[in-house]
Amino acid sequence: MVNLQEIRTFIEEQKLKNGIYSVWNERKPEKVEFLKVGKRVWDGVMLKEDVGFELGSPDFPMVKTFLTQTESSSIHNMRITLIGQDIPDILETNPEFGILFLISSSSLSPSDYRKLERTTILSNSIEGVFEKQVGRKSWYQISTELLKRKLSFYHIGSALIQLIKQEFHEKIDAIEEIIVVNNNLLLDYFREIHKVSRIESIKRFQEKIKTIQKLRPDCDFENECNVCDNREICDQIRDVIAKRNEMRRMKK
Amino acid sequence: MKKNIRTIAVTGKGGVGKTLFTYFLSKQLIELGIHPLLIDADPTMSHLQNLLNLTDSSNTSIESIRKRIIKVAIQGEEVEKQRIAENIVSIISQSIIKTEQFSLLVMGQPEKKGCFCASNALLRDVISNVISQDYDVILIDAEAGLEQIHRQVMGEIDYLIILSDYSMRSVETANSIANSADKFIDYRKIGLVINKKMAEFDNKFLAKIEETGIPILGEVPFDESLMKAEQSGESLNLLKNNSPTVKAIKNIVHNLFDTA
Repeated sequence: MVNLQEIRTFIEEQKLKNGIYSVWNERKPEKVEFLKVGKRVWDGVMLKEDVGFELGSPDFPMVKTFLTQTESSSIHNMRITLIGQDIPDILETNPEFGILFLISSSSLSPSDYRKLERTTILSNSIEGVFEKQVGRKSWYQISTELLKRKLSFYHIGSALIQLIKQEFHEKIDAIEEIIVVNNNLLLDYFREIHKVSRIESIKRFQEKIKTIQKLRPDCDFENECNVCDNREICDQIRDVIAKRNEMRRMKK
Repeated sequence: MKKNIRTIAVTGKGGVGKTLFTYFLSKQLIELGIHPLLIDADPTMSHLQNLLNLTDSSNTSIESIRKRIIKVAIQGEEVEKQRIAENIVSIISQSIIKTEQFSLLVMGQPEKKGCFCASNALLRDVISNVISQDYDVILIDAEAGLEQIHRQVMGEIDYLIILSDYSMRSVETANSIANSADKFIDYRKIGLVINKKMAEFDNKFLAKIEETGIPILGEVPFDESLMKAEQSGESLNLLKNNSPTVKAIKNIVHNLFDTA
């Protein structure tokens, strides 16, 4: 089990050691006019000539990891911390990059964790930011157009928060991000956190499988209704269940 | 009394005495002032129902309700489907035979081939709603096997009692049942009861039990008075309070509910 307090202490030490950092505390992220954010806001096509800058690379893929917990008091809601230089100040073309999401929620289901990962894969949800993926490696490509407008990590960070909040609505109580650029020690640390939280996520997934298996005795065909002769009858009964559920909802 | 033990299922190899055990367990609960709901899950013969001197319930069994639901589904008429949706709770409630001291729900024998998963889902949902509101303790004579219990009654059990006699084969069956329980149902606690115990356990037998990893909840000695009552068809109500069976099951109830 990962200990959030220990993680915070380590990150804080490294932040101070590094010396270059920014912290954005926002209750309501400002709406950035030049940045379109939302599901399918653009076609997600980024030609080579449109790419102005990359965060990470195939050789140094980005580290993206999530830490979820039920207790919200230890998470600074909407805070974005950047350890390292901001995009307009970075001199190299492919800086090493990582992002840690600290999320508090008491109602995320095992399938929500996978959905959480999917939500932050930027294919067409932030115009001009594209997550290039090769196998399990990924990195962000940023358009020349956005660079001209002085895109900051603050913009990407708040756009990601916005996307997660849109997708999960009231399920998430608090969300915080820690972004790291060109700090090998912290990026390795993020990778370790990723490994541990991955194991926990697998455990959650296994729990779900166990639950599904326990539902199987209900069915002679392992829930493969397509091969069952009684499918039509069951569909009619499902209709009865739907009617009953509707009636219960109305009563409430 | 432990409030967290609400649903108890009694299972085990055929012939180990599940129904009689359930019967005496229910008697002890009644003595403690509990009005239990007994679920007779024997698909072939309603032994428990017979022991309780209740009339034939083949028209009010869960299986008969399931048949009715399937019949309506085959016809597919909207009015009838709506009627079932509206009345399923009262249909299930009415199928429960209520006496002053206990209530009984009979599962009945499945006749139609096929799983009809949706009907099981509907029944399970209604049954668990109905019984969770009205009863403090639900006692299932799980003759039908855990798979059937899961399908038609409930997927969660607080205490799974596996009954065995003093035989290696019976303990092996207990082990298989425990393995199958892990697969099919959610149970919180499990315990082994050795029934009809005629002699002290030898080391080999104890080692076999240890191998299963199932903790021993209790022992019920062989009871000649019970055997005689069974042979002569006398009412089991006449069994005295100091009979070995009654005393042993009283102890088991104490272990289950901490009522000592």
